[in-house]
Amino acid sequence: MKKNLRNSFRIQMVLSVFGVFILLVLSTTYILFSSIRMQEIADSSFQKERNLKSMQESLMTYQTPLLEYLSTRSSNALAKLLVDSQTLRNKIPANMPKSTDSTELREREVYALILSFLDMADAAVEAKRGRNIAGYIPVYEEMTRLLKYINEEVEKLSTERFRDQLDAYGVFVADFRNIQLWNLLFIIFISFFSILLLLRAVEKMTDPMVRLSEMATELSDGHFGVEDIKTSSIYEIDHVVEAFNRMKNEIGKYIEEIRWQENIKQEYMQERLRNLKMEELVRRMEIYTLQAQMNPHFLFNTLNTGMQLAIVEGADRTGEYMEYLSLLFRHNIRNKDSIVPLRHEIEGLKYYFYILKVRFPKNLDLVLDYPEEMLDGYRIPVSILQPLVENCVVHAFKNSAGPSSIVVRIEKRRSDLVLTVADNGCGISAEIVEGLLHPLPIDESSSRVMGLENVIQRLYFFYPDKKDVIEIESASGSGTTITIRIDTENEPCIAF
Amino acid sequence: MLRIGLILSGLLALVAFSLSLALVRALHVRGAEADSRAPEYHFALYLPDNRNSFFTEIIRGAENAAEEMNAVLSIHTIDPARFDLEMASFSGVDGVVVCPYLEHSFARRQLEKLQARQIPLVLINHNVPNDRPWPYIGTNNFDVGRKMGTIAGRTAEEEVRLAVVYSEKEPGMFAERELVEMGIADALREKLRGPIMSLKTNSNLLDAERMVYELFTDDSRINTVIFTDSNDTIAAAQVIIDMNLVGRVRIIGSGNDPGIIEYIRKGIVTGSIVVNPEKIGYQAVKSLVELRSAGYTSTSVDTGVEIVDGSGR
Repeated sequence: MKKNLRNSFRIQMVLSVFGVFILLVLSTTYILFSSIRMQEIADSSFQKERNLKSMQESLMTYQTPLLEYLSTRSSNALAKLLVDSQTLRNKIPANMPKSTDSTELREREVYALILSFLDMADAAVEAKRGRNIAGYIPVYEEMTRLLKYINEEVEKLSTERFRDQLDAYGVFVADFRNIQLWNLLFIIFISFFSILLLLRAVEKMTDPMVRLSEMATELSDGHFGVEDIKTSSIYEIDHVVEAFNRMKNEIGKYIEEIRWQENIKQEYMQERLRNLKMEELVRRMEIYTLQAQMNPHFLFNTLNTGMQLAIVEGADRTGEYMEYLSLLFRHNIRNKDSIVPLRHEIEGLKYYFYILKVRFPKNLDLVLDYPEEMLDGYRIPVSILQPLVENCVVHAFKNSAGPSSIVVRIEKRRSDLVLTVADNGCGISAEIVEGLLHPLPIDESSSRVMGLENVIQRLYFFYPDKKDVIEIESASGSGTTITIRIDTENEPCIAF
Repeated sequence: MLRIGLILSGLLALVAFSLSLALVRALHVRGAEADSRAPEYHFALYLPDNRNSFFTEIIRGAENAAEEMNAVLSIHTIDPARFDLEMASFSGVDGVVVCPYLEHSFARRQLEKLQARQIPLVLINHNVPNDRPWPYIGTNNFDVGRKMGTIAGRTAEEEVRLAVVYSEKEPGMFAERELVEMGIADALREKLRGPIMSLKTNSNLLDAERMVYELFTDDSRINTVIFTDSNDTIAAAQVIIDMNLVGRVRIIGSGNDPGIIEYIRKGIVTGSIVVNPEKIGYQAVKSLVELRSAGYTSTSVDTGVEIVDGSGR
């Protein structure tokens, strides 16, 4: 803000106080003016009456020098007569308007009568000067009658005017009271206005200071996001305000930058920790895989030997069994990929089903239902169906004496590839289902997670955004259905 | 909050100030109120003190004409004791209307005084004979008498024995009673039997009752009574009913008051003579304006007389 005299603190202070002072002085002047005006109006209503009465008295005194002159021809009397005559003529209003008001009309007639009276007096004086006795005596007689008539008319007029004024006075008093009331209200409101104006001026000057102190408190609490203090129209204060705003903004900017850097650092550290954990998990898995690969190779060679021995001895059924067992092991160890074609998984499951049928030839019914055309079109995480079937065999039919059934079904529902493993076994309790579907984090879980839990953990790992990737529907005694839904439109998350 | 208070108190102060100022101004304007159109003439109307409906209507007619012709009117009495007419020539008026129900020599003296000061003058309702007649506005009493006689003759099958009741309330008619009676005699001609009886009531509104009662108690030969005042007509009609004289005595009245019209409708009053006093007042002021503006006016204006009777005319 540019510095100019009008924006100075002192000048603003003086202007505010002086403005309020002027306002109050003007208001009081108006009150005085209205009071004087009302007095004038009240006075004017009696002015005409006073004037007429004064003329009446003058006319009475006028008779004395007139009679004296007509009797004695005294020059003193004549001089006085002329002066009185002129004085009376001066008192008669120059303009006597023809009014529709009957009182004013009557007043006009009275003034005309007085004027005629004075003219007759002049005529009488002229006749006296000319020693025309026959001229002035009848004029004087006429004047006497006229004067009596004028007096009667003035009295009648006074009475009439007094009657009119009684009515007008009531109206005047009512108006006068109303004016006084409005004047009182005016002075009250203007006083309020002046006080508020002064308060506003003071607020305008002190508000930035109060805001400054509030902002200092906010800053001390670490809140740098508060809005800038608005500038006032006072140069001195604005200077401080602008400096303070600048300081607050600079500090806020530095703090924000430090906070941002800190956040990045924290995120980096968290990411790094997660990577470390993942690497640890991967290493652990690799160790297990290596360990697992050592034994199957030995077992695989042994199984081949056993199969050849069965063929040599002519035990074909045993040979076939050994062959499928060998195929199953070979299938399991051959592929090291995490994600495999659906056909690969189905092949392995077929080998496993053969072995199970040999193990449970009478009371286990195995159904594998899939559309052939889907086998090469989709990819799924490796070894997710066999553990589920194994889980059924191990846990579902523990106490079952009747026919058991395991149905594996593969189908496409919209964009999802749905794999279902259903049994008619004893079922799983709700607590166990809950525990299975909400496993402990990888870093807190046991390192030897196997079977169903392993499948669930891997599915959650590969499909972290799909919450319903696996569902378990089970009720005690009515079997269990495990449904896996794989979104075919999204690739599994295989990166660490 | 402070800003709202500031605006509110400012507005209220402004309202209070405006109202106070408007009241002071209204008071001042009322005190110094002037006519928007200054009247051109100031005329004076001199009438008898009696303010019956006849004179009230004359005043109304004169005031209407004054308002219409941009003049103002002051009303005075002709009572010689109060000098109003005597001092009229000194009162500065632009014209005078006089109803001279006065003694003729006194009236002429005052009218000449006005004439000497060149104050325009119009007489109403009653003329004062003069070498240079003053303009006269009113009815021709001979015509009035003829109309009265016409009503009496139209309804009478036998001879008419007539009484005319004049009144102080209608002094103009009494002053020119000869003319009235000549008019009546002219209209009745041979139907009129015997001299016309002249009677007079005073200013009491009920005096006619007394008079009619006495008339028919003392002399029952009168079969037609003519009244020259509307109040007397109404009072007399009621006495005629009370005395069971309806049908035997014909009443001819004056005026068109609702009471008289009702009596005519019932057949109690035979007919009535109606003059138009409002027109007299109006025409008088109009004549004065003509005198002031053109310097001359009609010497005589007959404002006419009408008959109201049961025939609907």
